Amino acid sequence: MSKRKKYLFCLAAGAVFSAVYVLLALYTVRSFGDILRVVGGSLHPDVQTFVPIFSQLKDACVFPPVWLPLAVGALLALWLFRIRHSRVWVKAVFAVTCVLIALVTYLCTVVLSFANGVLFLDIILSLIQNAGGLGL
Amino acid sequence: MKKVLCLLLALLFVPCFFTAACKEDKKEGMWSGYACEEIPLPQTEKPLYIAGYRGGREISGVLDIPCVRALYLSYNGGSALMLSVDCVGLTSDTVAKIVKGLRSVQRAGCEINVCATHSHAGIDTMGLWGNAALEGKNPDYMQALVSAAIRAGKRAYDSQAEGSFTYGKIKTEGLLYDSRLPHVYDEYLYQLRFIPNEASVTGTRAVFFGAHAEALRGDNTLLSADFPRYLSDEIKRRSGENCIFFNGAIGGLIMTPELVQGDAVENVRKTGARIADYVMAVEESPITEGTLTQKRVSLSVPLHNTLYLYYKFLGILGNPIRKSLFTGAYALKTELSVLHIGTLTFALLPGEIFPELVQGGGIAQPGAPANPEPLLDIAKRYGAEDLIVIGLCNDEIGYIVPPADYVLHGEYPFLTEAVDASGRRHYEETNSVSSDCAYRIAEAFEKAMRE
Repeated sequence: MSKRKKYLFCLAAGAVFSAVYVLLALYTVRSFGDILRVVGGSLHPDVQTFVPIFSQLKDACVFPPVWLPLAVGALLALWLFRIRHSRVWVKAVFAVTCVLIALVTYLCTVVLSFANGVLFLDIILSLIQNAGGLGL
Repeated sequence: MKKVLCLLLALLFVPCFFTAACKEDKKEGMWSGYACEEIPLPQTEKPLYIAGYRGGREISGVLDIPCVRALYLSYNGGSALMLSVDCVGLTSDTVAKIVKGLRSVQRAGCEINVCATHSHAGIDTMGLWGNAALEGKNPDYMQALVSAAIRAGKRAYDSQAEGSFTYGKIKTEGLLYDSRLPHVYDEYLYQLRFIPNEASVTGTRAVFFGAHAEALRGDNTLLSADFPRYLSDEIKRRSGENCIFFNGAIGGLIMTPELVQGDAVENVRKTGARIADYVMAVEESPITEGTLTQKRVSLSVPLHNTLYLYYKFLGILGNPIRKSLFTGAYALKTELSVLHIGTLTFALLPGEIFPELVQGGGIAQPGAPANPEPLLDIAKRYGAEDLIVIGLCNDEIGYIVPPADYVLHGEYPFLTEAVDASGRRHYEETNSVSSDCAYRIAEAFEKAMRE
């Protein structure tokens, strides 16, 4: 495979990978999106206070875990393609593994964060329990 | 060995000296003291948000400066210091700071209670009305509030004079409005009055009435203590006496009607004056027997509201929250008290209780659990004739909603209000700890009455 083809393959793989992650992210935040849509309606003013809160929650806890590992994975993949004597699929698997580890680590950091006597994971669980399962 | 013995003896006697230094506040007869301190606006670059209606609204001017009023009461060996703060509510962490500053008064055996008038035209003292997910409290203002409360408390205690107490109540008409069906509220206005023996001492009227202090309505951005301020001013003008206001059972949502259309400032003045009319018309009878006692009960309320958890996680909510090591469930810690002054019984409750839970009545949703026994019925079982509720006292935990009418949104509970089969909106549930709160309050109240 020529160097030009390798780079094209890398870009294509990265695009597919990104698309999958974006779909996953959208699925994950769907519930938050629903909440925002409903709460954002013409409800009591006090309730509207919470709309941007959940917007921030979404920004802080959902999108960074998606884009951060992607960026890390893409950098790693680019670096790996500079190493010779290795097959492309090995490099791709290695890059995906790097991305997944970064993603899981980041999610764990966010979800297991503990402040003022409250575990962040419990906020999400409370949301699910109260709603009878929002499909998060 | 001798040195160790000497040290032990010294340690043994230190508490004795310490106790001796704390003068016990056990006087016979009736004594009272009053003080009022303004809460000065701090010179600060940080915003001062209006407490209520919508988040992120800063004050645009000053109609009147909120105050802390303090009333010291002593009756046949028991004493209490009642603080009334012109603000939307104070969570227990702020109350603890005020009590700490009044430790010398507390050590003398005086019970200290910090209540809020629930002014929705005051500055955010709970942190909920700033920009989203950010602390709404201004730390400089909170410090000024705590300092003013401590000064007022000390001055009221130091200004005590002997006299007599009278009590009376009057039924009001056209002064209350319930925004949520059924229309259940306490129409009575209660008054405890101190008449000093010496003519040089000013008397004081403590007024107990249950209504959201939001006569300035939702578009207002002027800083004010709302109608409690204008009530106090009117009483002072008409009788020359001091006046201190305590709010009651206001959940669900009890407020004063619009007496002047289209002019919020005139409306708040008129509302204060109308309430003052009733205060001046109260028929009083002297309190002649008994003593002053207070029983505090700590309680733990299961916490189901996701938003409370989130606010706690962000460090905004000041209420203590504990997680069970066994079940993983969260609970909010608070307290209530029963205060007896002679034959009068006061329930000092930590939030905005629905009147249905005090006097009974209300709506039951199909299949919903029954409400706990009304507090008034519990009080009567223990011999109380009247029960005067002081809400938002020593803590603010939100609305205390009847379980029989507790409806959450099916998909987005606590995030958006539910609408039941009859089309009634259930806004208050979104600002409540859980449906179990009413049961815990009733249990704790009975415990306080029993003991």
